[in-house]
Amino acid sequence: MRHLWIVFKKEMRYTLRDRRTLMVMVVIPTLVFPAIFMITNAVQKSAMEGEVGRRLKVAYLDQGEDDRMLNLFQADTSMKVIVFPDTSGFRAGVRADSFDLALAAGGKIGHQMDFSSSTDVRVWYDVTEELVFERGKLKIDLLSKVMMGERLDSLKLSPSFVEPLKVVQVNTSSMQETIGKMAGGFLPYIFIAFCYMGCMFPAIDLFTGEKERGTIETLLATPVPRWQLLAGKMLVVICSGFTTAILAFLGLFVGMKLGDTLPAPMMEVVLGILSPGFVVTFLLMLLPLVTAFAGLTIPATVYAKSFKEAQSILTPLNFVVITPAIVGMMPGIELNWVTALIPVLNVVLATKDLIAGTLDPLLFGLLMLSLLGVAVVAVLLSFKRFGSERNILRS
Amino acid sequence: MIEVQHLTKKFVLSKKEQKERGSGASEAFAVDDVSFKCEPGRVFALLGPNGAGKTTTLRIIASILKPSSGIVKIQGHDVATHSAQARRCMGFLTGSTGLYDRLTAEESIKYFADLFDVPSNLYKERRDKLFGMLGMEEFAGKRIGQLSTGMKQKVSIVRTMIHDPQVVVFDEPTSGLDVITAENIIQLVMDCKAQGKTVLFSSHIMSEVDLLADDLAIIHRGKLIFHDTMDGFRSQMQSVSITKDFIRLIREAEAS
Repeated sequence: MRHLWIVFKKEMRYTLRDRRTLMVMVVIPTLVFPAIFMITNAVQKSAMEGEVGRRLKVAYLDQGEDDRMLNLFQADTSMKVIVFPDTSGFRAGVRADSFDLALAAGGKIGHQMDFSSSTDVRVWYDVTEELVFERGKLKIDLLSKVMMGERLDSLKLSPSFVEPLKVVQVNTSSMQETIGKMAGGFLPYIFIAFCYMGCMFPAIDLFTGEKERGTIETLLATPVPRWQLLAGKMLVVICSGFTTAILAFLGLFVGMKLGDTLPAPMMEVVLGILSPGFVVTFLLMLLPLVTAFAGLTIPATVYAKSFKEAQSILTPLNFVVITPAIVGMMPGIELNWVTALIPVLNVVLATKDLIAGTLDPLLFGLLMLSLLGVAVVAVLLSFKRFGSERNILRS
Repeated sequence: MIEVQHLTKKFVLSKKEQKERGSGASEAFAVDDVSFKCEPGRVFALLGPNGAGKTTTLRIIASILKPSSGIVKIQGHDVATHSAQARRCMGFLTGSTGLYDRLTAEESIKYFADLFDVPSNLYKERRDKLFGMLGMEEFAGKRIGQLSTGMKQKVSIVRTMIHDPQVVVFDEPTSGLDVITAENIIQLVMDCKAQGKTVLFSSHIMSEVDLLADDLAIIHRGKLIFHDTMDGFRSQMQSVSITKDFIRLIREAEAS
């Protein structure tokens, strides 16, 4: 076992000196989420501020004197209303950005209206500028509400007359459960993707790299048993995948905190999720998963003759790994006795439940057995490939 | 000492390889019933054209590959059944420098010393001697990636010798090296011989063979077609050039 430790120490040092691996293992997972959250938030804020403060140019179909809707729009100083005798130029005007919004009511919206009918209000807008449409619609809805009140008043009816049934939502889920169900699928997807990437690059460097450098023969000519050479290298791949996944996960939380994307009470719940119980269970799941990823990537890297060939084998495998993670993000897919047996998918679903605080210990046990089984098979496969003369000396 | 008795190595051919060869055979013999013995204090040269089976033979001797049949013993240890003991007695150097470019020269040597279980005090002693002898102190702390080919070759030499092996195997050690760098290897072979070590090297550079070898074997298509002392070879020469006689032997083997 002393040799295993010697190999591990050397390979770890060697890996940590590789800029490409460090980039994938440490820099990207740590910084990507804080960067994404901060940039998205800044862009969103600036776009919102710019849009809300902007004076809209509104084209309006002339309905004659004393049109209530025209008056309402004209009273708003954040809008410049231009009256047109017909709507023929509305579509082209909006498309050419001559004005932001164009409105045409089916008839004059005066104070005296036929209560038995409703009037269509057509709105021309650019669908990519949803906020502009919302600003216009807000005004129309406001006028509609006022008119509804007037109609009810004239008939001496209360507002409840037109709303015989009123739905009152009572959410029995805690905020934590809600977050778990809504975002729980996204989080494991992230760390599974990073976990795989974290295994892939060191595996290529430590196995295919030995062939490319021409060091494999001298290494195999040492008195160290092959399984110890493999185990020492594999441990480095596992450590790398593990570190990458944890850094990505922490980066995500730091990103949410720095990005200021969630309301304060929700943020408190999100940070509260990082309890010791959560961390321990999460790491327990992660360990066999990373081992399985290492066991899957190593045979390919032992077989490949060059970095390029290894990458061309492992990149499609990435999609195979990610697909169950995507399925796990779909609504309605729950952790049960069947899904607990499907690797990757089970981790996604269990993380959802773990965040929500509803993880069934029996299903978690089954999941662990499934992951350990896959990890053992993957390690055995690696050992077989590393021991194969045809693979190890393929050049 | 290296003893090779009736060594055979066959590879199972893939469908693609079978098609390429066109022979219909599902197996190919890389080494076919090869026997020879390398004595301590002598240099044994294994010659052959490309693809003759030299590297496969040396890889089996270094216990990197397993023989299909036959016996190979290093200092009395069977490489198939006692590979760890056999490897401990042996240094293996290939033509490719084969070093870790992100380790320093010092770290590379220490790594291999640790893998060969060299005790710290012996390591220090051997390291100082070899580094001094080859003038390596000035670049000992530099990463391999920053070294010249000549410097790398010196690191490879020290890596091969750090556990003081009694048997040294060189697989085309000077191939691709310039004359000055190759000279380090030639000197190493001579030093090993002077120290009573068993030296086996493969080459297709006849001047090197002429200079260094005490014993000679020529391998072609996996079979040994000539095996004698260097003096014996010289006495059987039909021309003034070793190269020409080597080619003649190969052609005769092909004709038969």
